[in-house]
Amino acid sequence: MVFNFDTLLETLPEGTSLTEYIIKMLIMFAIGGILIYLAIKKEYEPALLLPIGFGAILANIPLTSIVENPVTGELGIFGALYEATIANELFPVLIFIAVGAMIDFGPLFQTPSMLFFGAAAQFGIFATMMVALALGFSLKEAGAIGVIGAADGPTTIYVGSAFGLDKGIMGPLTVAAYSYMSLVPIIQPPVIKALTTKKERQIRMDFQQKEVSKLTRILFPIVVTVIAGIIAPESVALIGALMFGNLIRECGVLNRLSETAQTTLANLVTILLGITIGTTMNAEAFLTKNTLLIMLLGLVAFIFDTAGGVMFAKLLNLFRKDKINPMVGAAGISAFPMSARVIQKLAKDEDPHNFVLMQSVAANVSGQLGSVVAGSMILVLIGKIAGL
Amino acid sequence: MNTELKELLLQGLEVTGLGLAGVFGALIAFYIMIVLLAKIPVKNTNENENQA
Repeated sequence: MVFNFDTLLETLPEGTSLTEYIIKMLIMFAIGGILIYLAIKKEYEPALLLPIGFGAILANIPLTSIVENPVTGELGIFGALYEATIANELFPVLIFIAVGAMIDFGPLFQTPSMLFFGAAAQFGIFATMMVALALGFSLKEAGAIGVIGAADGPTTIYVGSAFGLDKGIMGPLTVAAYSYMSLVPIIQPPVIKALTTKKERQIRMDFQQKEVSKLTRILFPIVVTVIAGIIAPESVALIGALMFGNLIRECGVLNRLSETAQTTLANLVTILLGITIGTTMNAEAFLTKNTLLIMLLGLVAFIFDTAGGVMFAKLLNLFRKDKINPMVGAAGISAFPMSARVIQKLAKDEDPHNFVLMQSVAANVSGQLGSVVAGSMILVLIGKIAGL
Repeated sequence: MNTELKELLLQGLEVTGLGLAGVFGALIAFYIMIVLLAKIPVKNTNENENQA
């Protein structure tokens, strides 16, 4: 389609003047530019924020048909890609195969009790869902918004797509999920410091390195998939993909596939996922009060999740002889391995000889499991209420 | 508070209660499984010990 001013006027959204349209377009260009800036200059999740930012610019070029032909309504290349890969939950599942191949669950076998932080740190999902409901979002929207707090982008997209949320919600949902994931080093420390004393942050924890048998590492992904599938059948796609990736990694005979999943598959899906999500950020759908609320609620969810993990550790300390450094609880969100690194850095700042990295990594990989189960519980329970 | 919102919040509370119970339930099951799986001996180490 060649640019035609008359066609532009004819296709303006109902009730929108040309000036309004141009201002919105420029705002979206600026948002796309900010995301690209954050990706390149600040290196905040560049693999995702850069394609999302560029996609946002693409989608707002007047009369573009990359998502949908403005005259005929026919799907464009990215519209078709969205339907074929995100609306049907394909990309989140493929990303999970890659993530599973990247994760070493070894530290969890050394300190299995850290697993409970992967559950406690999901508190924010449900707390935020309640806040979103009170603000007027529907049950499905509120559930998907809450999942942002799990710091798990693919699960957020998976839940949103499974609920059939429209692109106006999916765009901000994804941007919030990935932006906050990259902001873990900025969001978590003040929350942790506000909830703990210096003495608590200096608590040292014993760690004994034990060798884990190959059979254990092979059985783990299989048994987790079966248990999760029995408890929440909806989780099988996500946890099954995550554990399949892990099985490829641990079986010892598929090194080439494991490497491909960790690199080529992850990179390909990330490129296409980012730009496809970016192209959903059409000005009409994105520049709404809901977008602002979703971004704010995403932040609330992150804060609640971090607080949930820390407070749970403090609660356990009331009954334990060997105290847990409560900061480790905050690693129960699934931003892996960033959150574990943040906790170790905080511990080191308080006491240069304190080493809680392995416990934090164990809590962090537990968060990956916990967020998938929590997302699945949201799907099952809300799906039941909404009659899906 | 209108009735519709009240009903929605009650549904939200139901999802929260059952959801958290489900997450903890699943992770408790994983915990038991991990403790059991961790008992599987490391083959190579045992062989090395026997040789020594």
